Amino acid sequence: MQREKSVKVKEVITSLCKLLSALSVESIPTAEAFRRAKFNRKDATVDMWSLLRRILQRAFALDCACQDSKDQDNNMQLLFVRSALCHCGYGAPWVVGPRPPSHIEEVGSRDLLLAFSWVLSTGNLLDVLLAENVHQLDSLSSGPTIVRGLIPGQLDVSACGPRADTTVKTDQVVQALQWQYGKLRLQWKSLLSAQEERSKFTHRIISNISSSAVCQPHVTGSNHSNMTSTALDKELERIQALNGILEAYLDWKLHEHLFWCWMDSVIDSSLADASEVKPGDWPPGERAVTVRCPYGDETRRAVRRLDKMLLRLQTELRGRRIEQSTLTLTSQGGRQGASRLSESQRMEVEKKVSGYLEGLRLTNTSAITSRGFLPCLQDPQPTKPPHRFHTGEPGLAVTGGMLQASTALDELREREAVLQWQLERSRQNMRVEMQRQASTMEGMVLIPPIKR
Amino acid sequence: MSIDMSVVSLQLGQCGNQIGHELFSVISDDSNGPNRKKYKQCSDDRFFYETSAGVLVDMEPKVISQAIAKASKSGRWRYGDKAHFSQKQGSGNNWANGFCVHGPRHEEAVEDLVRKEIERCDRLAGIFTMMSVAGGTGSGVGTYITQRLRDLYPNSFILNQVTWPYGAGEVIVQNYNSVLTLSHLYQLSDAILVHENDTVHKICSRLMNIKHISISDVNKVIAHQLASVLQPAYTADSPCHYSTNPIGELMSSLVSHPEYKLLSLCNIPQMSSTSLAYSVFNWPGLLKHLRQMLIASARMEEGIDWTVSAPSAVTSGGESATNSRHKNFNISLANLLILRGKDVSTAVTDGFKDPTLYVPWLKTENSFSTWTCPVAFNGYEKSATLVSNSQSLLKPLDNIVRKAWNMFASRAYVHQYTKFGISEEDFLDSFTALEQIISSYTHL
Repeated sequence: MQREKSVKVKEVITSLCKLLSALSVESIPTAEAFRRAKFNRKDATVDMWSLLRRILQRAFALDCACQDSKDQDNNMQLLFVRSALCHCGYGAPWVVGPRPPSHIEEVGSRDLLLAFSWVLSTGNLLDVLLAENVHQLDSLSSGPTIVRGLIPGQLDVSACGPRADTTVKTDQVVQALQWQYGKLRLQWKSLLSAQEERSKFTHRIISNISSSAVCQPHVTGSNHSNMTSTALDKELERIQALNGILEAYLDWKLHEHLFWCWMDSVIDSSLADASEVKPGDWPPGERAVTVRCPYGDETRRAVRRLDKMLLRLQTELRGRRIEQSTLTLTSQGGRQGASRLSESQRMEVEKKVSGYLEGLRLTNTSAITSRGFLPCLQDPQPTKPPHRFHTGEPGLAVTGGMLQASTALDELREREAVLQWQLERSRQNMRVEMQRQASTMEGMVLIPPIKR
Repeated sequence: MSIDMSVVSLQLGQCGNQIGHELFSVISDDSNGPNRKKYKQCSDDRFFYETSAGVLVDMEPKVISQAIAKASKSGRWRYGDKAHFSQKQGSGNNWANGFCVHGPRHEEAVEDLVRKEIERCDRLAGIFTMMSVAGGTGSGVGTYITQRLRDLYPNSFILNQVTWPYGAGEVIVQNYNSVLTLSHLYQLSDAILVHENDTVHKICSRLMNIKHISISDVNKVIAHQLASVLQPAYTADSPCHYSTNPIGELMSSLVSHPEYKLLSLCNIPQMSSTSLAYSVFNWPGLLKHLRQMLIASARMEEGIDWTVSAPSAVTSGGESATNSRHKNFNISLANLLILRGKDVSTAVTDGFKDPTLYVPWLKTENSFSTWTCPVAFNGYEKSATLVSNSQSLLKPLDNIVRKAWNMFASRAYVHQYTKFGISEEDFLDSFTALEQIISSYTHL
């Protein structure tokens, strides 16, 4: 079973390598190199490094004037790869961390493999490369697409030009070019059909004459047929190359999901190793999060906040438990009293905790009522389950901003109750604090305000 | 012997079959008029090969059998004996039913029929399909078949004639069907020639004074307009004999840019045969009307807004753009003018060569072309047709998308589509595609 799985994985990686080489990406490592990289072997570093570099160069070929890698020294290469990965949104420590690696060898082959898989999964790099190659080989397939790099929504460099007129002019020139190209394509199509017709007639003529003059044609028409045969040969080569690319792509697509399963195992092994190594600058929980989804400061902040909240709640709960257990231990005499105390105290604690959690929930999640809404008295129209982008709470009658009045009232009442409870609690705390302070100070008597 | 290219036509659904039948009737009547031997020969080569080069497809048998019967009865032309395909039960005005169920189920049969017609031609001028976007068969099955034909014949021209439904139509989900059809066709077709039922209806009522307008009256008008485009003519590429590549030339004149594929048709004069006998036309008058119809996005000769004018070329580049956006001025990408009738060589078309009518990035010699034909068309002594790739379809398209979106926002009737395999994501993709088209045309 294990053996079968590993053989399958090898096949999948081999198909990916075949596809990449069909798409004219140079120096593809073998499937074995990928496997070694999973286990962070040193000997796979060079292979993975050159693969990553070449893929990034292809991906960003239109957006940056990348010099040929042979001329660049290692530092420049490292800088390019790190900035390209950062641009893709990859936030591994060796890319965006405060202490970047100064030498290529410092980056492990597994990290490089993870980076490579990130680049593969972001945007649609393979599709873009495929479209480029197909277009080169089969010009009639589609109009020229203005490739804006593999990051969706990436700013077009020309649009950030110094003056607006140049942008407009460039756009217009591009439009005019597209028109001319389209016209050329359409005329090509007409010529193609004319050629088909001609060959049809030629065939008819030849087949009518054929029986008598079988031996003649290849002597008289040899020159002409040589020319046409070279053209045909070239055409054939082109079509075969195109066919090869498309077959490799299809093969990859069929097995792609296995590759991502394997990548999951790579990530797992990398996390397992990371937990053994000392944390370094960042706390371990965060590090794990970073490796899995290293995108976005807000996410990190939110995760940190949640962690802190969880930690606080856990320590409070632990504190209460300890208090409770010491109480039961010290008041051994009045066991009933203790149990009664502990029960009432338990209820107190429960109430406190639930109120606290409620408060946390309210401050950290936005309720329906905190967003803008239009109260309506009537029932809204029966709706299907909300749109998948709608992040509202399910089960509530919400239709495009309209909120049923009764629901809104309930929510508001709930909120009011919690806030009142919080107010009462903080008042009590203040009172206790003041009494304590007053009792410590000599010659001071606290006269509490008259209760309204 | 003139070797001509043949047009294989595909009639889909109820609307498509009715229009197709009327189209062949008009073509046949027109070709058999007086003094037009070469014209008739060219037209016959194009559309008929003993029998019409047309394939009829529908999920219900009624309309097809009616069309075939009527054709045979006319005595002048008929459909091929086996050139039709029908089933027992329709698609229920459901695009998803047509596209996901009927289409794949019957694709082989329909492709066989089309292939037989194509093999009969010496040279294929193009595939011309007729369908409506509101129903289930024409739109759903039609889109699926177009997709299959595009895969099978990647280098052929595909011209889709589509009929947009009445704004206040009978089919509740017509806007969904329209949105799904148009978004798919835009990728598959080379050009989409649009007729709107509302416009044609107005032509029938106001210009032709028909009191009780029937479907066949509407179809006759549409067929007349289509035939005026497809019948033989002298073009820029072949000024001495009738063009052998009409569809290709139409496309390279009008839809060379892949983002702009919507074409609208304008044909004048249109009037009842009784008034025709008493009217006299001259080319300057006709062309002046047609030009104003283009600028003001008027679809028929009555009620043209003469206050709309082309922006003057004196103002600087930025200003003229804003000026032309005022006053409903219709910017064109490209126009094709087809003139048929007496003294056509005397017609002066300079009014259409004004560069302010067109987008600034395309030179006028690329934007404007003229076809002529000295043969009078379909009983009109002089007739002018304008095929236009411009903003005139922007408003109707926007209406359709808006109405469809309003329905989709509350997910009304969507389950009818999801049960056949069209998901909400597909709807969203279609809406996005159409928004893109609307945006492209708005910023012409």
